[in-house]
Amino acid sequence: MTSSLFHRMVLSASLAVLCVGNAFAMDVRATVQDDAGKPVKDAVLYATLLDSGTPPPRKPLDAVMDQRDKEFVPYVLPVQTGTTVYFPNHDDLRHQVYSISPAKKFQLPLYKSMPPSPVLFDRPGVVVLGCNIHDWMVAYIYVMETPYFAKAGEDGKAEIRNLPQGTYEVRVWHPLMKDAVESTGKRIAAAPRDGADGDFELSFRIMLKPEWRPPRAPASEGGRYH
Amino acid sequence: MLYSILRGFTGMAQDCCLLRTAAALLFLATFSISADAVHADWFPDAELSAVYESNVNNAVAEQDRKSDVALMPVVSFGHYAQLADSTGLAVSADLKYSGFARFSGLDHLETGLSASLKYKWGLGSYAPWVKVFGSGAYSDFREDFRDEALARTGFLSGKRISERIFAELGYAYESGRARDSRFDTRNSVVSAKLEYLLTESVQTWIGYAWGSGIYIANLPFVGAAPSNPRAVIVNTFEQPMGAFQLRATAQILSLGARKALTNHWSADISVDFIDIYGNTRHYPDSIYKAGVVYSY
Repeated sequence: MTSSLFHRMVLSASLAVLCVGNAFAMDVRATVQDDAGKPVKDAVLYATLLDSGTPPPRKPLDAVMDQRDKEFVPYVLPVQTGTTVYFPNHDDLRHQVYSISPAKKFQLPLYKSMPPSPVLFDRPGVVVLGCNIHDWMVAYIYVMETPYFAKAGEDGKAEIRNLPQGTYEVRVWHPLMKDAVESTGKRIAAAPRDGADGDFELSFRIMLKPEWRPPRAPASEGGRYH
Repeated sequence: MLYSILRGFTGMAQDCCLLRTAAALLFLATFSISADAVHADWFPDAELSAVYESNVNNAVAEQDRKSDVALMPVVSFGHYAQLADSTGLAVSADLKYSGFARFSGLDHLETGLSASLKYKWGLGSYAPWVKVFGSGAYSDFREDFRDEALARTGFLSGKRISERIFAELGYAYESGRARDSRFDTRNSVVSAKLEYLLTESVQTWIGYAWGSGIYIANLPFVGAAPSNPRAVIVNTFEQPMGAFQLRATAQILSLGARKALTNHWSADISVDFIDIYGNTRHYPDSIYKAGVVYSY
């Protein structure tokens, strides 16, 4: 299942690149740090086209939000609007995945392995996921109109590749960031420049707040989920 | 051993309908888990604690109070089944040992079964829940006359109040039927607890409980006999003392903190300040506890 999804995703991404049909393309590389200078993992870097440059491709995509060892994997999943997300459950017990976020409200009744159908995310915004059985399970799906996005790794670095010609606003989002996502905006113009490769190197500093999840660590009395 | 547990359970169930409920819950749990085993979650739990108790013999006068340190390993193995979206059922087999440094007559091994049925109203971590529980156990003491069958039943309800605050309210009825009936105990306890997330990995709590029932206390000798004619002479506490049943009320103030070490391990510290009041006398006690807890 995962392998099949992967192939479909690769195919979709390839189609998206072909649709651009433009010889010019540039990359945007960014480093995201917190206010103490530490790299911020899972930050979402995305670029939104501001002018009438090459229209972004709009192809339906698939993505996967897994469940392993009573945790969602990945913690943050960036997707484009119109993406269908599969929620396989690799634990040997049932989960009850839900969201009450305005961008997507849904509930998958108790299931193991694979729910009957994936979930379509057709509105931009933050979707907070939870499991109604295991309250500490939390993950985020960040839904964007733009297809140009990337997620930061352990080193806080993210790269958007093959950005077509145009003027863009590049922003960073993270589920624990204190400030509004709009405050991170940086404008860039992707255009051919003599003697340069046209790529951009950006850096972002964001302030993070603690994440107050219901504790998963075991309690000596009464506090267990069971 | 199982026979002893069940015998204690059913015997005490004649005393109180709550205990019948507990027994029924255990049987219901057993059959439900068997029927829906494919969706059950196995959970091995373990705990190792060091405990210091300032008045282990429940004496009134300061010079008569005996303190001791105990090591308490606990192992549980159980099954959790999510019966429906809002209802979960857990059953477990529990083994608990208490080994005391000074008063080895109090050393005991407790073997038992427990079950709980949890219902959650609504969706999400803020939804309130209630859990009905019941357990039966047999405690085998080094001093045989203290051996007892234990039963416990009650409910616990909880609600996440804010991002960092959780509240719990509970009621429990406990009964202990000892080999020597002069050591029988029973009490009802209502409790409230507030938990506060100090950091992302450290949780603190404060709790208050009020109980009423029959407890075991000890008093010194006056001349050649204990001052209470109903007392049983025991040699548990390095000197002969008179142990007796005390009808009393108890207040318990609890403070504690838990540090999450990993997803499955935590370190706990806690203190219980206990005041048992009966026959116009106070029996103060403090229990300090530190331990590590594992849960799958």
